[in-house]
Amino acid sequence: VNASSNSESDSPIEIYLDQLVLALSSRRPRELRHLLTEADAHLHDDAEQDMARGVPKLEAEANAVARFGPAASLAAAERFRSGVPFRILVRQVVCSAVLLLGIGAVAVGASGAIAAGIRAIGGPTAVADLRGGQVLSPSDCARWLEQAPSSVTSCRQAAIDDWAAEAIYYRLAAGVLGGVCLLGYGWARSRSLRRQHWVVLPPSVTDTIAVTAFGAAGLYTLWLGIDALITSSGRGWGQWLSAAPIALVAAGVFGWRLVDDLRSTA
Amino acid sequence: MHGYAVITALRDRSAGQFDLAEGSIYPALHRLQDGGSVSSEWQQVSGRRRRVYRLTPAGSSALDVQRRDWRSLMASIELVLRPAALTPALP
Repeated sequence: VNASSNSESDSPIEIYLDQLVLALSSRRPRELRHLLTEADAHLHDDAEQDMARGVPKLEAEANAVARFGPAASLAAAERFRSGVPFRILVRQVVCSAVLLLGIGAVAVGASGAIAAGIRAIGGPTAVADLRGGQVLSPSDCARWLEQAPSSVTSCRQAAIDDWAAEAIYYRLAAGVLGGVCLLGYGWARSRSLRRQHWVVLPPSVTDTIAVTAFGAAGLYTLWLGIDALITSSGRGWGQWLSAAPIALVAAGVFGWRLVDDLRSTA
Repeated sequence: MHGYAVITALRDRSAGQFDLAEGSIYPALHRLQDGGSVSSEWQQVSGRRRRVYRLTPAGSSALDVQRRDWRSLMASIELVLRPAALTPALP
């Protein structure tokens, strides 16, 4: 029994069929079963031809597998033939969304670090300020003053300190969450690549979404930052201009990748 | 014919010129079946369960059309490549 098991586990045909099952794991069970039956019969027919010419069994099987072609190529051709099943499409969208959200959240975290630098240099009013006509309620004032150091006595200053701190720490927290997201994505990707069925949307799709989202966010925050510099004497500009360069750089990187994708597929 | 017989015939009839990855025959056959050009049924042949493919009437008509198109194209290319056509007439 052991000899038979060993012989089966060493068989290039058996190893190849295992690879084919993994590569085609997203197919419908019947399709997969039929293709495996066809491949199994084909490979054994081919190996038997070599064995009839005196080639040793393992070598004959290895030759048959080599002539059959890589399992990944066959799986790709089958996927191309029958389109992408809905559940695979959902998985592609979810994986791509996790990647983009992770990158976006890390970018938000980076903008929080820049905002912290701006606050250290320009003080809290460089990062946050009251909007024109904004009224602070007595209950909010009491809460802010309770949290503020004893040197802060005005409600306005306590509110600005609190908002500036929120603008920094909430963004840094988003950055940490984004990092966790990307680590999870990387782990899932390496695990799925070992099983040869990693699926994401085509790069040009994700790059287009990323360029649009980062570009729009970059331009919007740039406009708000410039507006704060002009109309509010620079108060609160750091909240927006800490985010704009990060978003615009990310848009540039994804834009460059998109052009590269489009050139390579043109 | 089953897939192995098809790929073997293709190699033999092309005198070894069409030495394709043998597995590529199956997605091609499945695509032809999806398009209605071939039908298939499972049979026990030489002790193995095999899927045997057969040309349908629609596939046969499509083959006739494509064969005619191919011969017409080849004839046109032959005309273009004739040595006389390539040699400019000297004064």
